[in-house]
Amino acid sequence: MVVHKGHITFRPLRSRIIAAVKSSTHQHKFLAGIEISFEVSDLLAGRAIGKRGERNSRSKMIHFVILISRQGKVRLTKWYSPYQQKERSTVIRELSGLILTRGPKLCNFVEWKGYKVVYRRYASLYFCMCIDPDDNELEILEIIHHFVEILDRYFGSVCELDLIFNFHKAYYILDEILIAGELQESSKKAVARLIAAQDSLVETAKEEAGSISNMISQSI
Amino acid sequence: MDRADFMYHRKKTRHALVSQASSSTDPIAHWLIPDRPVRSCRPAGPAPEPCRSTACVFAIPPTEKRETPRHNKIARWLGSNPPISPHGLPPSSDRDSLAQISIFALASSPFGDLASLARSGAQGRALEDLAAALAMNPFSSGTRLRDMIRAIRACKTAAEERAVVRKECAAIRSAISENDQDYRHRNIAKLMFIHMLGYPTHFGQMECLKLIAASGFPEKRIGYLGLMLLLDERQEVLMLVTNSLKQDLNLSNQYIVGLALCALGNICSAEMARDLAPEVERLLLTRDPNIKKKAALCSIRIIRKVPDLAENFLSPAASLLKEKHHGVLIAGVQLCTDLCKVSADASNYLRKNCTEGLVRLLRDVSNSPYAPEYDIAGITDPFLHIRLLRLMRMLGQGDSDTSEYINDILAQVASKTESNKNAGNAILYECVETIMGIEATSGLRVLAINILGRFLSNRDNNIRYVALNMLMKAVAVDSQAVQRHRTTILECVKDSDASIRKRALELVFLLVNDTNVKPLTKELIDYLEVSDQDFKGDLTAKICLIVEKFSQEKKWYIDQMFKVLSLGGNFVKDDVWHALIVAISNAPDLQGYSVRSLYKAFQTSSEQVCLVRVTVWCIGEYGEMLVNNVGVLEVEEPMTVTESDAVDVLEACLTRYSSDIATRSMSLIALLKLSSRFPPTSERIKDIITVHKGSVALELQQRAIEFNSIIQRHQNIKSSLVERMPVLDESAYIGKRTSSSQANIVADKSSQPSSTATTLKFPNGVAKPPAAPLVDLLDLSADDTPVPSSTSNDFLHDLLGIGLTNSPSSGTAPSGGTDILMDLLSIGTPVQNDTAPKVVSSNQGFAPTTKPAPTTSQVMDLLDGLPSNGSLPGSQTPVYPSITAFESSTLRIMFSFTKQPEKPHVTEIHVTFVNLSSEAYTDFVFQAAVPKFVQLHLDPASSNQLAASGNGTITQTLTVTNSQHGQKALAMRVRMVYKVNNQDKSEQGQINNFPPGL
Repeated sequence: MVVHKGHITFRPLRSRIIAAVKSSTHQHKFLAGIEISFEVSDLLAGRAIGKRGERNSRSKMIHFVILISRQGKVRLTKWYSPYQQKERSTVIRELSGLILTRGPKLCNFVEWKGYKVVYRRYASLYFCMCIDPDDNELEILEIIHHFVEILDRYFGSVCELDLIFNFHKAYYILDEILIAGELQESSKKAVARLIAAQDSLVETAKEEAGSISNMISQSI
Repeated sequence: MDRADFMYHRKKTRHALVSQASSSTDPIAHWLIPDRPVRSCRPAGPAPEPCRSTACVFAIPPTEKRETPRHNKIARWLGSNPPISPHGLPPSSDRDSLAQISIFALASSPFGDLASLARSGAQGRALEDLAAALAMNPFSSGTRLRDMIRAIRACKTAAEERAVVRKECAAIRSAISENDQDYRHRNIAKLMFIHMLGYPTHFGQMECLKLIAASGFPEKRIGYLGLMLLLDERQEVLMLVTNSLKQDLNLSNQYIVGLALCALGNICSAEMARDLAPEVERLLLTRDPNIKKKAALCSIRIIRKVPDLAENFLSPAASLLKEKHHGVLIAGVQLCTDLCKVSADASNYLRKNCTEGLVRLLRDVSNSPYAPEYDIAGITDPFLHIRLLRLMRMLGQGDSDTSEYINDILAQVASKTESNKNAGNAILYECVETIMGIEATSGLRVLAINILGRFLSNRDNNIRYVALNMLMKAVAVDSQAVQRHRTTILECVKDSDASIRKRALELVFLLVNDTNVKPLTKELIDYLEVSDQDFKGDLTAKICLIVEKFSQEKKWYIDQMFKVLSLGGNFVKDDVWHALIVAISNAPDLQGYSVRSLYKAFQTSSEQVCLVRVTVWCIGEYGEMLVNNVGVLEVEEPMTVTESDAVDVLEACLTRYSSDIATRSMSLIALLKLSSRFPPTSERIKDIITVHKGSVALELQQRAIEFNSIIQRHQNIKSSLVERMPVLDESAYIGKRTSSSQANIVADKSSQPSSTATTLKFPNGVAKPPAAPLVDLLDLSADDTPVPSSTSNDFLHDLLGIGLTNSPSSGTAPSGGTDILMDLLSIGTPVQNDTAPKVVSSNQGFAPTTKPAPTTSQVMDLLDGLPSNGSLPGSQTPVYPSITAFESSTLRIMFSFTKQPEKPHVTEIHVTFVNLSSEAYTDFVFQAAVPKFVQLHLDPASSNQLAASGNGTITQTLTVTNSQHGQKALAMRVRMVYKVNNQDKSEQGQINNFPPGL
């Protein structure tokens, strides 16, 4: 339940993912009031050795990132290890079965097929990352939170609908945070700067295109 | 439509639409929202006339409720119609909403359709069609991304969603085939969304490549995103993008280079890695931090794909460690870590050149004052901390100099880091792992273990989970220290969180040793009673492993197994309870106790499958011990069980609905066995068996019929047929268990056993086939169970525990008889190829009179004939000279031979053992092996004690069947194992001097 612009709405879709007003820029703002329960499970992602032998199990990396809603709808997927389309849907199905059923106070890790999946729930969304079993689970939780904070800053109290209608932007942001399953940038500001710069590049290109077509249409 | 969507768009979309020009927060929206007339997706061609008149108003966004000519027109049109209620639409009285939907449709659907509708004149029907079309597909290719998402979200069923997606995909496909450039980016964006829903989108892959090849940044941005989402590294299309990537990597625009690096890092294949490695290497040296960090991560991917390229990246990677920018540092440290993984040279190089710098870096960052940009929970850049610690672990592993060098800084991090927030704990966790991984001093290790102890008592489940995880690694380093936390760990096994339970159980398993096994097992078994159903499987398996591995006394093992069976008998694996049966059979003094305990356990836990099976087997074997209270231990409470109680149990198992075929078959055999041991109940057992002659399960029916005829017509052999099983060979079973768990070689190899291997296993002269017996007995329906051919004579013996010592009373042709019986009783299992001819030959050999009998009853008739076969004369037996088969300074073995003329290939060998030494031999066992073409059968020896100095002898009879009689001579290898003054001795030899003609 979220109080939003004077209305009380029970729609989880609208509940802001991070609910709390930031009192200072460097403080954690997950807070209060909202259902930020953390449930993390880690899923161990399937280590089908025969099938995906090329996947290097020794390298510590994030194999994939998935955002699923409480209803099991996929909101974002990013695969850093090769999974075929079929495997992807199997993985998502299995993981949502595992994660969505976990109670609110359990730990945020689920072991799944020789991998671990670290998950954390923000409002109605579960952020899941699949890692190798000997990777640092606590750090992955921090990375998830890092990602959410950047999303929050970009969208201005981000909610699930932001991620549905602007999914491409969520991907752009993720691409500034992770490459090849490794963390790229630990500064939220730096990410925000890069995204803003690229957005304005698009903006400029758009305007130019508009004015050129105007000129053409006028000249005709 | 979803109210949440409306609200959302009131809040955000409006904003984006209204302040289009100035809004910089939503730049992409402009690309995805049409600001000029949307094209029809109809195939090109002259548009029908009315289309033009509507085209001019078409660009109005549907959400803006402006009065437009078209709006009026539609409203009028709707108003002039009688009320209709097309399915899937709001009630037609709600004109406003219908009008709105219609406007939507006009805005997006092909005008031609509308035009033709209008011209058709049949307005009512036309509108109905339109409405149906709208319900199916409110939007088509002209729609904006946002509208498509909304339409998909508005679908109430999966079928509706599929329909919408199908239409969208069709529109996109036709746009692709028209080579539509204006909306390519929007189509790809739509495809990405559709892809996320799990629909196939391969047809859009080439469009991504076209976008990437375009010159503008916006096109490239969408194109690369589509490339990463819609393709993966195994698709060949990807090769086509290599050139574009190469060009983009050489551009001067840092954002385009960034996009290309990002795509390369996320999906590059080995070939691309090779092709583009030089560009990435060059970019590692540029000045821009954004490009540098991306290039570094890209290099990680390249090295993972092609480890040979590692050395090229070594010196640029090392130079990255001197950077100030945290993003570059993080990427650089990760690159170095990955370099260490693939190449030892790299770790040596980095050890030499970078250790010092790394330590300084870690010290700086952990001592650094508050830095708002990187601060998380009061710690500056925990991500960098963790990566530095990880690289130090790679460098310190197995290198005492480096380990010593980083000792201090690790101690500082371990003792100074705050542990009240997740970020701090993440650093501590990594630090502990590093300390465990390097050659740390003992003081540092103590520090690390203490941190884990603190973690373990933390209330946060995440922290406890990682503590358990790390303690598993610590066991190898310092198991004493971990043992101290045993109680806490045991508590974690009972946690409500499945992940923690699983970790803790693994850890407990590592902690078990000889001294603590009893209390730990007791704890675990107690918990088994109350644990979750879905955890019982894991828990049972682990308890069984522990009990089997650490049991010091048989009684304890049997007790624990009974407890596990009665609590988690549904989860016990087959090999575990098979092993239990073998163990019971090898413990004569505990058999009575076992069968009574099982009987008691059965009364309370009869729903546990494996408990039922073990009980059934034991009652069948040791039923009289149950009734007569044989071998009562002091700890047992006296109990009275009557014979009919025992039969009750078996009958219950046999008739219960929940029993499976295997259990029922076992019950049936057990009943047969009891029928001869409990004469008073034999009538009742006969009735039970008779009932099952009509069973629908083929296996049961067949056995019931066979057993029934044994009871009715063969009372004379029944008692020997159902003797107790001989003691099962424990070591052979364990050996088999390990080998079968190692590889699936059983099926292939043991179906053609070398007779050497099998016969050598016979201890004490009792023919015990090595591997198969238990399986044969218990897996009645398993038709893939191989029966070693050399032991096929013993199959009956195996199956029913017949004592061959009695068989001579039924005649001098025991082997022929058992062959037939074997076939009689093993019909459910595949008949070995080589037994078929043998049966025929024995038919001809000694039961010719029965040949004309109908085949169905042939087997029975053969059995009828058995006793008379016994009287077949053997007077014409040719005489062969006796030989001294083996002689050493301590032992002499003499063979004498007899042969029946009608069976020239079968020889009976009477073996006499003489002790030539002055010491008595005890536990004397004779073993023999023969070539594959010979079958060997050993009868029990007369004794296993051999008195000294030739004062006593042991005799034993062997039956040898030479399948290549007349072509190949007999040969035999022998081995004698015995004890002299309790010292094990063995001798072996080969016998080649058999008289010719055997």
